[in-house]
Amino acid sequence: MKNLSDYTEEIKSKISIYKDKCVNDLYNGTEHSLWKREYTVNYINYIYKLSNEKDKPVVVIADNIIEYKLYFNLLFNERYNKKSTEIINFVHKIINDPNSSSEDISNSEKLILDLKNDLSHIKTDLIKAETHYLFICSEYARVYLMWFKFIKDEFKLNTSVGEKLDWLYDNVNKSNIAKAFFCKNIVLVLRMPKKIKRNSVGFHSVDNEGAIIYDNQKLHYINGRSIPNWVFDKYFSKTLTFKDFVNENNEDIKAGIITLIKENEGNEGLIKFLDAIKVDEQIIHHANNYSETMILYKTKSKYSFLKDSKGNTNVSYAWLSMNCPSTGSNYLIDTCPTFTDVLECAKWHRPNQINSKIPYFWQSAN
Amino acid sequence: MNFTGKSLHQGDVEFFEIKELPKGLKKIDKQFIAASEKSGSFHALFGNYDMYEVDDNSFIVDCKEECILNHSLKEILENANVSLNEAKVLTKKDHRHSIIPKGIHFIGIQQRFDPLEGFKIKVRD
Repeated sequence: MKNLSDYTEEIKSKISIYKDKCVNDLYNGTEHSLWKREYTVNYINYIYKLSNEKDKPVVVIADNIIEYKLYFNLLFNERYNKKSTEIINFVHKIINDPNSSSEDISNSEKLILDLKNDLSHIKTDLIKAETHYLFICSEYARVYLMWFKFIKDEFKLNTSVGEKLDWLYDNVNKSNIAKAFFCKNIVLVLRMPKKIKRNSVGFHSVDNEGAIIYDNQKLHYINGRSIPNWVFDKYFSKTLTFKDFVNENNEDIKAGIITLIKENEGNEGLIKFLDAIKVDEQIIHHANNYSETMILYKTKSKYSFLKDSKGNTNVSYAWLSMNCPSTGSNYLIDTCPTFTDVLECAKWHRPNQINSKIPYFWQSAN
Repeated sequence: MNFTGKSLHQGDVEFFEIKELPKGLKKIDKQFIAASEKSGSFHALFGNYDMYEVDDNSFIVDCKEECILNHSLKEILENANVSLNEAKVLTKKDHRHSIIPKGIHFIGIQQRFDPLEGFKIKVRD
């Protein structure tokens, strides 16, 4: 029996070592470059054995998300899977036949790798690619297994499944599995990305390399929110315009544009992009030492198609800049251009029932 | 409504403490305070409280004890098998959970302004 007194400072200090081992080589690309197909196949086979499956499944591995979707259709969409099903069944027989030679097995593996050549034919009538969740075989598996390993080894616990979980822990990282779709005879696997960039909030990158990087695909994230490729493509080709920003309805994408510009060019770059002037800036001190910097911006130009809250047309575009305390994202909220005091402006955005005499003061902000 | 001046927010969802329950309120079943069909995210209060409707965008809650305001995903809620009656913390979507003190609170959503129309609009999630 262990209790809290066993959780010493020495043990606590080791958590970061386990965490680093869990993800560092994944994030920096080492894991991807050292990967071999057999690592993934061995891991899957071990899981099937743990599940008391008699046969080994055929393992098909996709290198990126686009490829996974195509493989899913090649294997499971009736419109495309006639030939691939024959190949899978053939290979399944070979790899599970005790009389198969190593050459037979090696040749059958080549057939699986050659399936990649058929992906280019898959274009129409696609079905939605699915994944199964299995806690020892997903992108999170390494984390669960890391905590198991930490608790078992550091607290010196004996467990009947220790040996099996040790094997999974030792092999999960190099198996490089992000997601998988499990069938009796076949498993479709999506590999982990080549490289991952994060900040304390989540996936995050403001360069054009992407936050989740595959060989032929990149996904952009800013402060943990998915941002469409067009934002980065336009920004880095210097074709992103103020009109693009105005036309975008999604607040998270707008916030992404603001952060992208701010982190690359600073506040000056942002104001230039918006062709705006800073009307007012105040630091508001709330409870629990939380303070918030709010800025009111307004364009220098006036636009005939804009209206203020009094119904006047031909007015400036104005924004209230606020930071989300949880995500760190900077939001520019459209506001009425008549304001000159940012605090009054922030009060005005509260629900109608809250009059301006009620102080703008948060006991808690998340 | 008689506001005490105590307030808190979780993203766009804002809580303002009031001294007593206004008369004539319609008590409703507990529901999400705000939800996005697009992302599957929601803001919802979990715990022992009564919920009243003010209008289609605001509520009053009478918290009998400390409750938890979660911003999470419907998928996480389903897998966690937690009901709105249990003051439990769910895995967050974007915003950290907030602890809502015992008492009566008005809940509203931060308003947006449409510069093309010149009036305030309901927030789009």
